Amino acid sequence: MIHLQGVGFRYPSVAESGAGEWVLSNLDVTIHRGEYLAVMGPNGSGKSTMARLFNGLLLPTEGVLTVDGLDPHDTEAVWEIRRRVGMVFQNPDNQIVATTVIDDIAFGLENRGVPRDEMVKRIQDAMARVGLTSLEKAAPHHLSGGQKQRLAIAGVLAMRPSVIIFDEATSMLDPLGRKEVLAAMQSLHQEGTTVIHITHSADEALQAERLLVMDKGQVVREGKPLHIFSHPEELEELFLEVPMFIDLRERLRRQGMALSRDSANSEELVEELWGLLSKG
Amino acid sequence: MGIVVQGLSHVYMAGTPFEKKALSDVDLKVETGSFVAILGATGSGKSTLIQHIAGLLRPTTGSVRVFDTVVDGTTKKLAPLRRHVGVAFQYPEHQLFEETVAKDIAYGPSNQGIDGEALTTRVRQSMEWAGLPETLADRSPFQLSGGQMRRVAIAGVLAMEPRVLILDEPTAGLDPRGQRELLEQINALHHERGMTVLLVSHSMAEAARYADKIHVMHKGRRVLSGTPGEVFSQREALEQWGLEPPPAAALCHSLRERMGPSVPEDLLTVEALAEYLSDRWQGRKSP
Repeated sequence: MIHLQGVGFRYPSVAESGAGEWVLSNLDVTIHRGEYLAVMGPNGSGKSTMARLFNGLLLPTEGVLTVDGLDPHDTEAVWEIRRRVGMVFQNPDNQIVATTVIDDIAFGLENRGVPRDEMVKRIQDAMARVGLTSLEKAAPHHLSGGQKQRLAIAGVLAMRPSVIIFDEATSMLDPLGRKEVLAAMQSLHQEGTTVIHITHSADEALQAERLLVMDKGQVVREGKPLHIFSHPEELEELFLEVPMFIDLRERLRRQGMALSRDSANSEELVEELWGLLSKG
Repeated sequence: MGIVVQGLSHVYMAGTPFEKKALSDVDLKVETGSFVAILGATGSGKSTLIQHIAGLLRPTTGSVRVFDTVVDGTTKKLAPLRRHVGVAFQYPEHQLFEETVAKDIAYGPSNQGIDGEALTTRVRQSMEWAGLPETLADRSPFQLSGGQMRRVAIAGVLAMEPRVLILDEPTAGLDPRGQRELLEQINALHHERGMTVLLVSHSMAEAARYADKIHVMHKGRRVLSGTPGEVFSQREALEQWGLEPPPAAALCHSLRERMGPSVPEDLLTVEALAEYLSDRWQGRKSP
């Protein structure tokens, strides 16, 4: 469980310019074990900074943050926090260090001095979970974008984390690559891993159980994704993307069409439209 | 015809164990003043193709013609192509290097021999085209946000007033507002100035919204060309190539399955769907 109470963050002062603006302020957030959380918000709203607090890459300037009760200010605990909370970043090409898939996954384990038998077991397990087993000897630069991101996930999985944060990890992928990574997130979640997905895509956020919307360093909406998206008039000033079928439904409702706000996907909206239009 | 690509093939590192055929026998035409999207999965050859049109790669075989300039495997100098074509790469902010925004934008046109008042006007104009407030002119480009840096780089390309603008994934990493604003401005320039635009994108929705014509690449070949309506109706083929129709096109398809072929198949944006459905609901069109 990750728990934030009254957390604020700003970069410490550098020479002449003094302390920076508050990037995050007054955050009260709890992330539950095993949950699938999406985070949306404009560029500069603090999403990535918050993610870096979750895994101890940055420390809160004020307030209290704990990960499974561990305090990142404790220099022993911060290493354990980084093991428990893994991160997958945006650019698939910046996260690869070795010349084969298997060596790339081994890298983090070697650094931690994991015994060889245990290493082999963990690598096999990680490859199987992201569907890369048949590619173990492949050179990473020959992989597709989706395969590279799955390799990054395997590297994180080998550390046996309880939380994985995906920081816009799908944004540079083609449609197939996105599908592969989203499927991997879904199966990690089903196996009990806590998944935190930072994204600009409303369709991707719909896959999560809960959505946090951030703006100017604060959480401004929190709830079920479908519920938040169903009131797009409240989201206008945030320029948040909403799923296309909800955008369409709300436009038609404004024209006076008697559509409910209950449709959960485009198929359900099509059914309602058909019912409404076929009555003549 | 503004751009004619004929029988274009490109082999990287020919004659070495790393030899890789990136383009095979590509034929392609782009009409002057059109807005064309090039789609394809990662590794399909999109980037290699546009690098030829931009005069950055020499064809192994075949030729590329941009207006009156032709380049083929025997051409010594590729530079003449670059007179016509401006390219903003995927992370155009990596192309920035000057100490102020204005100087960075002025670099290209001043190399073209433009100076004095004309240069100042050109810079101011380009900033406006790219949606940059004038107040940023004397700032360091490196102190700007990601979206603003991207606009500075694109302004620098526009300042050379290319007849053809190539954008390689210009919106990757921008938030939805930034994506929309950038493409709306490019589209306005395209209409106002008749600038030919080639957009390389992973976003099917962007292609559906802005392109007159789409070319689809797969494994180094051009496998499909047509209007957005024609291309996005090929659902099975697209899936085979690792692509998919945009959400609006997918919803349009389900509507047709439910309500029959009276629903047109080229409702590819939320605006087009909303307009059609509300007209139909108001009884202006009989079911």
